Amino acid sequence: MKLKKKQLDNIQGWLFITPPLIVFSVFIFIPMGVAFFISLQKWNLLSPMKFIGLANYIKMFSSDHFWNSVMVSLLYAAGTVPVTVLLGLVIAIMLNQDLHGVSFYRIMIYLPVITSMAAAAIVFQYLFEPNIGFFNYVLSIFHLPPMQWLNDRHQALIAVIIVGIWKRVGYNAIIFLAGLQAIPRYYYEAATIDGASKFQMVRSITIPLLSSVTFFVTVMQIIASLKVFTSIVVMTEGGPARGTDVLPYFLYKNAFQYHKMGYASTAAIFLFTIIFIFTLLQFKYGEKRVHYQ
Amino acid sequence: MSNLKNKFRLPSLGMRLILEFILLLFVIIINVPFFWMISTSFKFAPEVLAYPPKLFPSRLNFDGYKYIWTLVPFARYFINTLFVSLSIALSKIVLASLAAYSFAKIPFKGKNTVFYIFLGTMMIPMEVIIIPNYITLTKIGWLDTYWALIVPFVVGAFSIFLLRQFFMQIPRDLDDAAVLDGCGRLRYLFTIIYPLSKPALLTVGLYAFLASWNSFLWPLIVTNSDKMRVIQIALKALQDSWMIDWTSLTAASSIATVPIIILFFFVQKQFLEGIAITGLKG
Amino acid sequence: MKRATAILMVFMIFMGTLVWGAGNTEEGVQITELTEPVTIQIWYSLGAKYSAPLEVIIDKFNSMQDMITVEGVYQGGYATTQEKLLAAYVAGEPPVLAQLEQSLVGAFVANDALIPLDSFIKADKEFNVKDFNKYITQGATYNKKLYGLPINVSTPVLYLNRDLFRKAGLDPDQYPTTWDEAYDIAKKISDLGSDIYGLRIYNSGWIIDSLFHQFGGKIFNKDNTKCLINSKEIKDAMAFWKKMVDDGIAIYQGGKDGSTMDASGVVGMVMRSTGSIAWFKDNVTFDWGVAPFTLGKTKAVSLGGGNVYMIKKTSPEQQFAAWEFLQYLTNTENQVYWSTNTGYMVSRKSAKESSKIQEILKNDPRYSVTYDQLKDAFARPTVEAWPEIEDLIQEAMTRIILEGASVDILDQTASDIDELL
Repeated sequence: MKLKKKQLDNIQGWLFITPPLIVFSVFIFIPMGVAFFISLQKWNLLSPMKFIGLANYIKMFSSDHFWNSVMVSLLYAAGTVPVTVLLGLVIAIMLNQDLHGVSFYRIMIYLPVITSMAAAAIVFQYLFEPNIGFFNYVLSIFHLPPMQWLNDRHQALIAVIIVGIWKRVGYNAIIFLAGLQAIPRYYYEAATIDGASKFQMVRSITIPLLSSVTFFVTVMQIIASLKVFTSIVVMTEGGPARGTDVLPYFLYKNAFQYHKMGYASTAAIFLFTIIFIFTLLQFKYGEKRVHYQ
Repeated sequence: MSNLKNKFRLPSLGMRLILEFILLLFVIIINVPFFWMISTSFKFAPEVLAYPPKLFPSRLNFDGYKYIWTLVPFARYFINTLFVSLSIALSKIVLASLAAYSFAKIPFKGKNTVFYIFLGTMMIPMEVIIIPNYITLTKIGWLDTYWALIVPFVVGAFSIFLLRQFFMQIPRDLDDAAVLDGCGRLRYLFTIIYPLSKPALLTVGLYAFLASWNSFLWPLIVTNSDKMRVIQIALKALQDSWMIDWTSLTAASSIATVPIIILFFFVQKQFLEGIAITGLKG
Repeated sequence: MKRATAILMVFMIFMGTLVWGAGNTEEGVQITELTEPVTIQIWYSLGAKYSAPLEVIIDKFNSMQDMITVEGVYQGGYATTQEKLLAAYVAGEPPVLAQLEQSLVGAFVANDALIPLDSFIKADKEFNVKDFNKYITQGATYNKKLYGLPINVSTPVLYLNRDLFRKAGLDPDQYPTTWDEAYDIAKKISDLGSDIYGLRIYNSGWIIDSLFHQFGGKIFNKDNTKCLINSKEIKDAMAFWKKMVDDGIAIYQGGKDGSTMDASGVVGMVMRSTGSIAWFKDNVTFDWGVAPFTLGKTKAVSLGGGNVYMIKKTSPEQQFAAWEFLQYLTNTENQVYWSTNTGYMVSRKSAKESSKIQEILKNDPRYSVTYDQLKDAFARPTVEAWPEIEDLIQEAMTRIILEGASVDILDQTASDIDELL
């Protein structure tokens, strides 16, 4: 009995998407639900769970350490996002010129992006050493006093911000470059004929047409900054004195060092909400801007 | 992309030189950590701790590398990481292309809803679901196994999305011609679409391989034993000691990084263009 | 969508019941011999060059017989090993032996996850537990039962940069015996330069414990139910160290590890584990010495390092094999081998009396300092929430010393800790 085309379509269509459907359900959707469930419990892994309702949430929102983590995450994002986005744009503009060896520069700038963060963090830890580290040596060349870097609560945050910028600026640059190169030449040619200056062209052509890419890059960077974890684990372990205790690390510490699974899940739900909001923004407004073109 | 190249014609040679200089300077600065990573890995301890820092080792010290390969079974970690990353890359290519093909070419009920649900998975950061997944893996006995490292990543929304974009650009005429020829859907996918989509498939594979090679949080949580350890976690374990040995640490970092960089040099054009596509489509 | 939600709820309930059912383990029967070969693991936290001697001992054991194969697994630092062990234990697949740092066993003791060794000791006619130094084994004894055997137990000793002593016009053999003397010596050394410090202090858990004890304070009360770090003694101690740091005499690092600084020759005195002797020999180029760390009115040094414990949820065969290896690992000959290669102490009297050890102690008296101060050693508290408590104390100390917070923040810290107890 031959199946009707429509039935065949339905069967095959669903069949082909079954593997991802299963994987996503088991490892993403259901865990989301379980995460909510655990956040309502008190659980240290070794003894049975105890239902405590919203107690974890109340405790978390009234906890200094939690708000410290929120603040640290915000500061980290504030330190990384503007710099990486702007720097990425500037580099992309430079790469977009008719220069020698552009493909070489492209590769070299992208190397940090493909490097393992753990390996990079180890090297940076060495470079940040207050007594023998290269960075303090550079400071001394400019007659500046040495910094404590990872040994000081505030400077440690600056250090991880530097690492964060180093890691992602290449990625932003490549995306910006693609965006720049997608702007049709005749816009600029027409403007040149009209007698527009370089700056006017940048202002009225480049920037508006880059807006969707800029939006994309910024939101992606924000999300990446909110998720920073590896560099913290390797370089500072959230310290000194919680100076670099970003939300993901706060979550990890509470779950796997303090064994407060329920409490950690509460933090996880909070983190999810923030990131979810940004991702939603990206999907809604990102699409719209593309259509503007 | 090349024929859309949109470059400003700069008036003066001077301007071009200045820009080249700035770019070169930037490239040098950003690659400073790599230089120190490799240089330190060959130094003896006193030179590692010397100040002002010495650029190059005066004598080559291979103890760091010897230690990593012999006492620390780094070879094992390397193979683990390679095996896991390759498996994930290949699996993503196959499974994502299946799903992408379905979304791109097969009209079926509920397609759009499911697609948006799939996209939704990209909104959920791993940190949030790591605890429940850890429990799941524990209960089904997959903790500390290759299963735990591979199965959750056999397919991803990003790969599906990327390939769907690409497949949608394949003209319908080709589809219709195939249907007319009585070619089954699967055969069509593997014998016609695959060869046409080599760049996209390669991009998906590379991206998946790289993401898996560098992944940290997941292997940290789901593996405990030495047998299952991957390179990134081995790095953290080495660094965790209370008496730091920079020579062997940087040697380990080098081993973890340099092969990837070499691989990257071979595939960079493909890779960078693939990344760019994702940015343009948002 | 509705169906998906229903499935989700069922799954959640299923998970809940599964987890509720996570019960206790059965205690295996003790067997007296093996009928089949068995492989066991020992997890340890000894990194860098310290793992080599252990691996050598493991290899020797494996090649001596063919029923038991021991695999040594390096997990990372103490905290990482504890995390991993807990994870594996919850998953039902722990290694049967693990080296745990003394202050991190709290969770395991509280949840009955360790196997007391008394029954093994009783059944083993050849094993003489009395040969072990009781000051050392007190660190593995809880509720009067012995749970572990020492492997890299140490006490903190004072490492002196003798070159800096001489430069400052001090006699490098005159080590400080009180904190005031330490202050004076440190001051003279730090006068040598703006980037030279007389003393390095840091907030590692066991060091803090020693420091507090030496100033007459304690972290907890006798049965670990109340936190006492806001006592006058400790507040005065913090103020004392803050003054040293403010005056540029001492350096306090908030960061992870100060080893690099110690080896770079800019620190006059630093308290570290006696186990660092081997590391110093490898990495330090200046002339250095070791002095007792028993400063202060109360002469006290904390016991540090790890013992090897036997973990539950393992089969009787594994436990039998584990005991066989454990007594081999800690026998006199291997203790001597271990100690000569790492600088850690031997814990058996017979080992200490052995000619090899005696020779080393005679030739390099730096090794003997830790033995001499053993009588002043105290065991660390075993509290389940120690990781979090340690973080709280470390944070308070950093804030007081580096950021000028008042010592009274310790009141808040103490009450936070009380909540955890």
